[in-house]
Amino acid sequence: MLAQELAHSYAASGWRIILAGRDDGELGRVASDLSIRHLATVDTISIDLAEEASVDAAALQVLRRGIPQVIIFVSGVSDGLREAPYNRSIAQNLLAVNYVGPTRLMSALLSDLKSAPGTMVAFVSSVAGDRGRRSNFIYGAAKAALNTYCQGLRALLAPDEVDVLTVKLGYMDTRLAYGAVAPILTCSPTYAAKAIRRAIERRRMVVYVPSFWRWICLALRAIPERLFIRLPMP
Amino acid sequence: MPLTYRKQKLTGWGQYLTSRAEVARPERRLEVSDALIRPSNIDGSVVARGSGLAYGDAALNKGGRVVAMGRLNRFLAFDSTTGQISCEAGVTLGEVLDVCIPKGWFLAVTPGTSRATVAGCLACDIHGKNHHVSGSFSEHVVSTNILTGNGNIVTCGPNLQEDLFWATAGGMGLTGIILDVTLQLRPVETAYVVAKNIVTRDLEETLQQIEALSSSYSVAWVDGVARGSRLGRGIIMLGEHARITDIPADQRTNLLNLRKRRARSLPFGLPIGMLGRPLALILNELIYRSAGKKTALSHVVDAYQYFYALDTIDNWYRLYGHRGFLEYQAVLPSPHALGAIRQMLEILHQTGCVSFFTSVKQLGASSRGHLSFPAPGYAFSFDVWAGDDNILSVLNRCDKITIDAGGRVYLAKDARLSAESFRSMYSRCDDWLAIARRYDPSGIFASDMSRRLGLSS
Repeated sequence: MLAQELAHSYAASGWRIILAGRDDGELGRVASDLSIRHLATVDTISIDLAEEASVDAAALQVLRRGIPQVIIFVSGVSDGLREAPYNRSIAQNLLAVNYVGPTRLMSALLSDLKSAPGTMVAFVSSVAGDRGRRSNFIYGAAKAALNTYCQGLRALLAPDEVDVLTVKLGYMDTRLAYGAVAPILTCSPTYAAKAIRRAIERRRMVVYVPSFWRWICLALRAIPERLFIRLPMP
Repeated sequence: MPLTYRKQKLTGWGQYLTSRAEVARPERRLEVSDALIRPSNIDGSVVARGSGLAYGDAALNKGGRVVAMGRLNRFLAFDSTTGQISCEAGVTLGEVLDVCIPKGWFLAVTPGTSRATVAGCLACDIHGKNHHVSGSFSEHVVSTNILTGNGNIVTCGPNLQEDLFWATAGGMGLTGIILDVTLQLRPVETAYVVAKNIVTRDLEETLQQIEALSSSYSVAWVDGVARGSRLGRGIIMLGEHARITDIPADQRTNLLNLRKRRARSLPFGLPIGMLGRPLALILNELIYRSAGKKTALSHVVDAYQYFYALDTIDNWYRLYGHRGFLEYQAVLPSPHALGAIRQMLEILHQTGCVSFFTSVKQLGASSRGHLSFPAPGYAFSFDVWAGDDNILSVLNRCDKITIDAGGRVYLAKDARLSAESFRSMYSRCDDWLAIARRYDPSGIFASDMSRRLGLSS
């Protein structure tokens, strides 16, 4: 949903869009929608972030087209959060899609990226990466790894004038939160897309979406560990 | 994998009926098929819901499941040379217009709101002000994909799996979940309408004039409170899509681009229902007089203003306060229409029920939809505040008049028709049931409306 909204936002301003994703049927439908509503030029690349070969093949396709001006990773799964600590395959999938896949793709793009000044790479991470909690820490760990990766990448690419944005997303009103989080605590995907685009245009480094999560996360991080592990918070 | 469900209180547009259901909201097409899987902790049936604009209980399912289709709203194909457009179920008519008007196309049939979804329009087989010329919505559907109760996705249309198609057109979502719709649009030269108002003195003249004045679009606003010799007086509002030559030569630029309007909303309910008769008298008199001044002069208005005047307030039901309102819309075959409409208006006056919005329009030939509403004659409608104590008995009396006249009530706007009256009005109900059972043998698709009307157990 968020990726779709971001694509709409850019397509409406006349950008050329390359969509990458796992479900070819969905990619085709989103692509036709973008081209019909906004008369946009849309291209699709099939990628399964959990499959190394698929990531490598997709990287080649990106390189063939040339490094895009803005690259946004909106990849993420959060299926089976509670079982993840006990279930190897769920845990592996969470790590693969949220951390390993995106960084593997980036490693293939990196040398070209260094010679593409002005490029912006944005990663949609999560507030779950700011503090490990008992209900979602495998997911949180993958996002925390991604956050650290972004920090390093930002420093690495700074001399080449390539910017890196970390988006720490709170609850959003899509599949992941539906039925699990009270609707009032969520932001709409349209709102999130707007906030992310604004952060990209302002060349921010780290942004919380919605912004109030910055203060919640600050408070959460400030709680001493010995106390935190006893809190009933899930 | 079963879909994720969230318990929610759902309401019909009229705010009169409310029920709680487990609501799922798929975001990808493949997820919709999961709606057929019954989660272990939830009982019951399932019905799809679009924009939630059906006035009564068509998209409510007490204790069961509801699939909200609004997020499946992608355009799949648009051929601007032939005017065929394909889109997913949750695309609204307004979105279709945003895409097609700039290319010189318009909806062949549109209701009075642009917020309805294409699937909702097919399921209700909606009609517009041009029914006498263009027929109903389903007659411009080229094909549709439907997820049926046995788990198959069936492509159907007027020439393909016709039985399922015509059971779905007007079938109120009870034959399955409509996944996408391909529509044939109509060409237009501009995004404007040449409108003309004709004032009439009484009901007889209103009906006569509607029939006599040939125009692509026509609808009559009727003064719901005028009595005696002025009973049924009104304003006939005619319209034609403006051709380029209808626009003054110096304004002929950008004729296919309309500035988008922002809908306003009412922050709280206004209980005008309780204010009742005095307010209705003033309002109706004002409307009648203001139109009288502009009589017979053609004027050019933009299409949104002409077709979707009510969309400018996105929650106008709040005008009726928290108890909501009921709309009664019935089609009455021509020979009996005059008498039947007169009787209904008189009943409203005698019982002190005030209609705030009353209208009449001419309908043409029926579509082949088994439960489709339109039939040759006049469609008569009025809105009443649901808080009146005797309102249900008044509407039951209207049902009897409708049945005696050989007419029927529009299900998309209905919230209270009895199963018995429904059967008397919809004579092809048994054919419909036979087809619905064939595609949905275990009866998984049901709604509060289908149980009320005896279409499911």
